[in-house]
Amino acid sequence: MKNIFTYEWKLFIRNRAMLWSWILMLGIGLYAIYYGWSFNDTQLQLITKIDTAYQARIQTQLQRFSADTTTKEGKADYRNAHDAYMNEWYTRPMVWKHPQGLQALSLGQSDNQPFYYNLWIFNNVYNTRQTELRNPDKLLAGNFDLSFVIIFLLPLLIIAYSYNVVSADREDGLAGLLNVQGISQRAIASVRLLFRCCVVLILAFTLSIVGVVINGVATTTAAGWLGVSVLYILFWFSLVYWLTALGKSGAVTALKLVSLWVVLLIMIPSLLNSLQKVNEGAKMEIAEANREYGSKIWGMDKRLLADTFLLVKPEWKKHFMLKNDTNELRSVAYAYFTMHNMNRVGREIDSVAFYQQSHVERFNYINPVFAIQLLYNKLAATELNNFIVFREAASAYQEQRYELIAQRELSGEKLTPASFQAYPKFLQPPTGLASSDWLGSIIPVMCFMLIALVLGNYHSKKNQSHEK
Amino acid sequence: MAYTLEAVELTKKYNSTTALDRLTLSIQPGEIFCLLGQNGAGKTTTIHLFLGFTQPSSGKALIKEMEVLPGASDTKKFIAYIPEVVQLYGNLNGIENLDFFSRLAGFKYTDEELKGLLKIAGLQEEAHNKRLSTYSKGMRQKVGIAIALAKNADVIFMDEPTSGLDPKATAEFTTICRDLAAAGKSILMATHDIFNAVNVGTRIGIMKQGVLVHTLSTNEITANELQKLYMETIYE
Repeated sequence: MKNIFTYEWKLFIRNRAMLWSWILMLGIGLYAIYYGWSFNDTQLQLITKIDTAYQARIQTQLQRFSADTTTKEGKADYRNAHDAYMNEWYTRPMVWKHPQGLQALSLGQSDNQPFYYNLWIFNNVYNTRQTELRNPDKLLAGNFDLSFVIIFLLPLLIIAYSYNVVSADREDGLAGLLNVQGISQRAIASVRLLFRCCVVLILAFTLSIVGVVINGVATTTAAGWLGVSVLYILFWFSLVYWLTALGKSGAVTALKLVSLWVVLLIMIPSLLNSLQKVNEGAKMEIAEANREYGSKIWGMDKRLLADTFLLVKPEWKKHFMLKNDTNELRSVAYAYFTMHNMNRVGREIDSVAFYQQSHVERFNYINPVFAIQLLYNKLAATELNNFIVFREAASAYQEQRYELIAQRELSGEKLTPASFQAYPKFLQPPTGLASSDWLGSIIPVMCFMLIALVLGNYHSKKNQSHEK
Repeated sequence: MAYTLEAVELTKKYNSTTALDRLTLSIQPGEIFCLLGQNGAGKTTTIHLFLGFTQPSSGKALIKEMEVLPGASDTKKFIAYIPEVVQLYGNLNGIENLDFFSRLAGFKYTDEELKGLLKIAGLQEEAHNKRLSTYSKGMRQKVGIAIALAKNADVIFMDEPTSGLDPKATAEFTTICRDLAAAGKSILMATHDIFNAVNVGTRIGIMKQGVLVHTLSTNEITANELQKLYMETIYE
């Protein structure tokens, strides 16, 4: 084995096509890392801008608490700072989903899902969706990130390197001479395949390490990424092992492998995608809800609106008794009803998307490539579900703030700098993979590998005995 | 005396075609047995059966009294093979090719020893470190001989080894074969070259349509007589 490895190395570095294709793929991978890093960097710069502006607004509001009330402007500032409602309007709280380092390597849904929200109480997180979700498994419209290079391009390199590991000696007239040396062609081909597997693994490791170092990925996450990459590369080599063991010519084997690439990477995901009932009208549904609830609530008789509001918030009756300002009530009730109704509609739409996502995952057994993409995205927290969870957390945080602001507004209690600063902070929901996430993707891929290896072994033995 | 090579009623059929018909043959150490015959006479089939490349339909092929079983490596350690066209790795040089094939056979030689083997095979020293892709057919043939020498095999099979070689290279090849026979190696060679067969061989077999029609000692016949017998055999 060592001897074959040594000479495979010599043959590899002297074969310009193989060497340059490796270097080219390295270059492509580095560009993909840059592409992802650039995407992340843009998001981080935007987050910095948003945060800077937000912190500046907070500081301005804090200064307004002690504004000079001898001037007209100062009086207005002082009044607005102590008014919870106006304070919120001026502050316009922002929340964002801070991109993980690994997002740069697997962008997933991060380019078509909002990653920050303005939580002013009259805004709604479900009404700020920038784009419709049209391709849940994303395999037809992936970004040029490292996961794309590994999932789509590395298999082509694997095919180019390995389609003729068995047939080359036969086609080059070396098989007879090798055979009498007392080592089986099967053994030579297996070691050769192992060598080429190592060459591709080194490429994937090099790119991954560059990617995780540049993007400051945590060690455990990086280890997960590397594990998934190794699994995927071994998966492709197991398919190569099987198809080369059929003993056909290199051209026929290459054709079969490329066909398999098309089936696994394009056809199956595309077919499953077309079977999905994508929630096409989600954006319209949200807009309709906004219009319906907005006009209905704003147009309600003030007394009727107050009664309706007290039906859902009876514990706030005491505030009305104290304040009895129906204009304030209209504003607070409007915010409440639009927020809760829109959130309900939005969450229902998201739960459908959530269900569809889980539904697609059930097909991992016939869609192994998607299973790998899913793992990458889950590790990078760029899967659709990660954005749904973030949106849910943002809307829950908005509701939490609303409760505090509305109560203070209705009670007429002045906002103080201390209570302003004591507003709850937004906590980004934790990400991570459950063991079921790992198993749900790894087991199907491993099953594929096992079947390919068993079939490859069977055909290899069969052809060996036929040859003799 | 023990035979190194034996064919006992060795037969190979491909569907309805009989490529080799009940061949019975024995070759002793130090013998060079040359098989003559037209294309399709069964020469290469005979060699392939001994090499274990193909399964006999009936009969046995024995090497040092061990039956050749396709897939089994037991008899491989006794044999070496020089095909009609020696194809090697074009991106490796002569020494590297020889080293690679020797290592596969379980032998590890120093660079000096490898150079020595190539020299014995007649490959000029300046070619040792050149890539095989620059070699002529004759030069590749010499590396093939060196690979056979490196294996130190008792039996060497040669399938039309002088085909396409120039007279000088053929003469050098003949000398090497004689030296190998003198060292006790048995050689089974398929050839079309009647004059070289008489020159290098100790015995000659003439095959026709899978049947070994004549077996003669080279002491008993001249090249011209052999040519006449060959022509009579194939046209009768």
